[in-house]
This record gives sequence, structure tokens and C-alpha cells, in this order.
Amino acid sequence: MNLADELHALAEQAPVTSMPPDLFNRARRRHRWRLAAAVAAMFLIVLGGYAVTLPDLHPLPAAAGPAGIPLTVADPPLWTDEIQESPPGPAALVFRGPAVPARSPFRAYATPTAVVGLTRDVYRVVYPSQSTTALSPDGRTLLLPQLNSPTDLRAAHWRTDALDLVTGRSRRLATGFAPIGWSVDGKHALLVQPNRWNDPDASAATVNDMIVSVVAWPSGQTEWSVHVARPSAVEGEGNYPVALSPDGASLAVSTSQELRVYGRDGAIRWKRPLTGQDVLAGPAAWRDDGRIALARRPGVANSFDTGDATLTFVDARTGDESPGPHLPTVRKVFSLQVVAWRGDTAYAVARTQPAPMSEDIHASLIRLTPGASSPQTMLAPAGVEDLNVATDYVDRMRTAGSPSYGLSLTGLTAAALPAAGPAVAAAALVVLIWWLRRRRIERSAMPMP
Amino acid sequence: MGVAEVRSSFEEYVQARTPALLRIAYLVTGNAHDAEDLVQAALERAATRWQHLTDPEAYLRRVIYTKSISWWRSRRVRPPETLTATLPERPVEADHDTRLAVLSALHRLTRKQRAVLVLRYYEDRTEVEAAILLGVSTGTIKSQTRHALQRLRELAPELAELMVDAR
Repeated sequence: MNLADELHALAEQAPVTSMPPDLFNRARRRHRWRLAAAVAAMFLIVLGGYAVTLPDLHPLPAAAGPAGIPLTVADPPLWTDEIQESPPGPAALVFRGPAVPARSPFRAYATPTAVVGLTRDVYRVVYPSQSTTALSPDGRTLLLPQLNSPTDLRAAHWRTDALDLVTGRSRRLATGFAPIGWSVDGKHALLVQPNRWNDPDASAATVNDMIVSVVAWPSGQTEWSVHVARPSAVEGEGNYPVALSPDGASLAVSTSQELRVYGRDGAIRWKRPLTGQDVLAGPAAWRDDGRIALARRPGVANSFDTGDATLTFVDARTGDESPGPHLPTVRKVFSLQVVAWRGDTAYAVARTQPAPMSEDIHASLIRLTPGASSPQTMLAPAGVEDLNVATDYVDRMRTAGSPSYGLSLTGLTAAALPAAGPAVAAAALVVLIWWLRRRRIERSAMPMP
Repeated sequence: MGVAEVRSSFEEYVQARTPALLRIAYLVTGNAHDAEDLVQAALERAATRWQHLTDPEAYLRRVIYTKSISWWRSRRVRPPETLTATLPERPVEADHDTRLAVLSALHRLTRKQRAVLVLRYYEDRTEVEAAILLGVSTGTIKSQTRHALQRLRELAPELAELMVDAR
């Protein structure tokens, strides 16, 4: 005998047994279960990945406290709930910039904008079509510019929606107009329709003209509007320095190196030339005491260059220079917008950039106290290019609590995709290896003699 | 082909070929219990794709061999072995029963060596066929065969005459 014979003889001692009668069904059933278990396991892994990546999916809403502007602001994550899905209540401030992440390529034509609650640190996001949002002084209503067409900028496609931050419901305030801001008392909204929308090929003399509409709030009725000629506008299409008078009957506009005051009939009451880059100092520039504030930046050549800004005043009845409170100079800003007054103390949003035409823009809320040597910074969040505050509460700062972001399924998906990517890639690799291995097995299982 | 037909075809095959598969499994596992488990596992695997198999016999042999040498089975099935300076004592029965000596010696080989020996000397496969079946190179088959035979000679010198023609 040789080894082969011995092996054959040995093999004859193999057990004589039969396989279970339901082997076929049982095997297939088990196979299906294994597949289902593999899918479930993959799902759990991805879900686990989400949980690890996203530290706080269901934060408890912070308890309501006194109304005020938070001293610090958090960066809302990608999965932050949208206002319409979960209204935050009245807002303390609205901000935009790199701190607010864009959610998906489908939002490419929108400006990611974050809203922070007035009495608690509830964060929500909204995606208006451009950046000129306007928060009402009481923080309850947010005016949003919306464009129905991503490519066609004609006025017919524009509208201004008034979003109620308490109910989440949106109301169309006007068609053909975008928001600029609110009157100081919150009784009027200011809207704009640039001539460029209707006549993009107009001559340089008229292409920057605009219609400013004064809309009563909450009725939504257009009380009056003016056509503002801007033959040599240097502000740029999206920059509309206007301020409504405290009685709502006049409108101050700075443009084309002029400061003008319009009446309800659309006629210019008076105008005066502006020097250099002097500009109307924001939506609250028209003070109760009958003076209009200008932001003067001597030595600055272009409107977007940074420079030291000082507030000066003119008489609202005549346009003549009028001495006002001596407020500290704001260093190295390209924009200074007074948003509220408390007596002679001004609250303003200052915007600066480290280099001319840089995209690295920082916005901060500052207080200008008469006699102070320098402005006091109230809020300077990182990654924020512009902000609106509820001006009724601008002098009430509150300690920031634990932020509550809510949970947006759309945002969660967007946030989870990067985390899911490696998991899916790993799963695909495992499946590929398994498939190649199986293929090799089945191919090699060739008929043998 | 409907599921009923597939099942019928599968059951016919199982009925006819299980004993042959069990013999291979018995040789590569070294005991009846594991042989049954191995054949059943291979058949279950084949059942899930039966309608796609052009040569079920070859597929099942392949699964049996590869499963028998896969690490998760080897951990469970192969008994621990401690290497010593002297050869292990031969079973007393081996003096009287060559077959038991072969079985005992086979059991002391690695699973891959055992699979190679079974393929080459039980199934009488060529080196190329064995290499294809195990998914390794022919060089590996050659070296594994050489090592397996050498090991058998060391473990059971009295079987040397069985391996005269085995090269």
C-alpha cells in the first residue's frame, strides 16, 4: 500500500450521515438574515459615526432669561434647525459670515444667516437670497430678500418676506423690492428697488438709481416712496445708506457725494455736498434731537478702504454743520453704522478688514460714549462679517448660556455626509474584497477530471 | 429556473454527493464531527447561489478545502501542539494499525499541509489543479507537499514505506 491507498482506506471511515432535510431553505433564510444584519450593522456604524461627530444632537433648550444681547456668540453647526422648521422666538441678533456654514451646493445662491434668541441662546438658520436682512427693533420680525430665480435679477422676481420669528410664518411684504432696514421705532420698514434690476443696460448716469419705499408696519401698506437719482454712486449696488426721520415723514440719503433729505412727495428738501468718503452713519443716523449723523473718514480714498471714522453732525432742517456729542474715533473701519442711540451714547456696527478689498471681514457691535477715549466693544464674534441687533435691547447685554441648535434633518444629512463618506468607503472596500474573493473562488471552481 | 426547481436540484445533489464530500472533509479535518460541520457549512453556502453554479462539485470542494484551512476554523479545530526536542511518542495502536497512525500523523500537520496531501494523494490532483483549487501558486503546493511529507516521516517513521513513491 502507498499513501494514496491509505488515504482512501481512511476516507472510508468518514461518517455516513445525511444532511438536514430543510438545509436549502434554512441556508437561504440564514443568508437573508445575514444580509439584513449586515445592512443594519452598516446603518448603526454610520449612525454611530454621526453620534461621535455630532456631540450634541438633542440639546435641551436653554431656559429663558432676561431679554438682551448675548455677550458671546457660538458658531451654529451645519445641522442647526431652520427658523421655519422651529422658530426661535424673538431674536437678539442676526449674523452672517464664515461662522454660519453653507449647507449644501443647492444653497449656493443663498446667504447662510444665523439668528440668536433674545431671551435664551437658541440658534436657528435661514437662507435668504442676499445678505441685506433686517431685524426689527423688537427682534420679532426678520425681513428677508428672496429671489425666485437664481439667474434672472429683474425686479419681478424679487420680494421681501417678513418672517415672524415667534411663529415661523412668513408674510410677503412687497414684490419687486428688497429690504434695507427698519425705522428706529420699528413702525416702518425701508425697502429698495434698484433701477439696475429693471434696466441693467441703462447708462451709468441712471443705472444706480433706486426707489426707496417706506412701508408701514405691521399693516404692510406702502406709505410713500421716492426715486433717488445716483448719477455718480460709488457705494455699489448693495449699499444703501438711508435713514428715516423720527416722524417717518422724511428720508435722508447719502449718495453721489451728496447728503439729501427727501420729503413724502419725493422732492428733495435740501442737499449738501459730502467730502471724501463721508456717508450717512447708518439707519439710526437721524437723531430725535434733529441732527443727522455722518461717518467721516478723512484721508480714505475708496469707500471700501479702512480708515479711522468719526461721527459728525448736521442740522436735519438745513443741512448745516451742527455740533453734537463728542464721540470717540473708531479705528480702521470701512463701515460704521449707528443702529441706536441712548441719549448721546451711540451703538454701532463697525466693520473692518485687515487689508483693502480683503474677504476677511469682521463685524462688531460697539458703544460710543461721549468723552470716552475709545469705543467699547460689546460683541465681536469670530467669523462674522455683518450683524443686525434688536436695537430695543442694544444696551442690555446678557451672559450667554448653553447654545441650543435644534436639529434639522436636512442639515443633519449635510453634516453627516463627510462622516459617512469614510464609513461608506470602508464598506465598499469590504464588499469589493468579498466580491473579488468570491469571484476567484467561483472562477477557480473549474470542472476537474 | 424557479425556486422549487433549484431546491429540487440541490436536494438531489446533496443526496447523491454528500458521502463523497464527507470523505474529503473527514481527511482534511481529521474527525467525523468537524467533517459533518464542514460539509454542512459548504452546502449551506452553495444553497444560497445554487442556480448560479455551473459546477457545484468543484465549488463545494473548493469551499471545503479553503474553509478547512481558514483561520477561524483552524483555531477551533486544530489541537494545540507543543514543540519539544524529542519526537512525540507514537500511539501504541500505531504499531498495530497503520491507518490510525496515518490519521494521527495527518492530525499533526498544519491544515494547509493536510489539504495539500489530500488533494495530491487522495484526489490525485496535479499540482496545477491543487494550486487553482486552493488559490495559491504551484510553488506553494510543491513546498507544502514537501514539508508535509517530511513532517509525516518525522512524526511516523513507520509510514516511510508508504511514501516511497510520494515526492
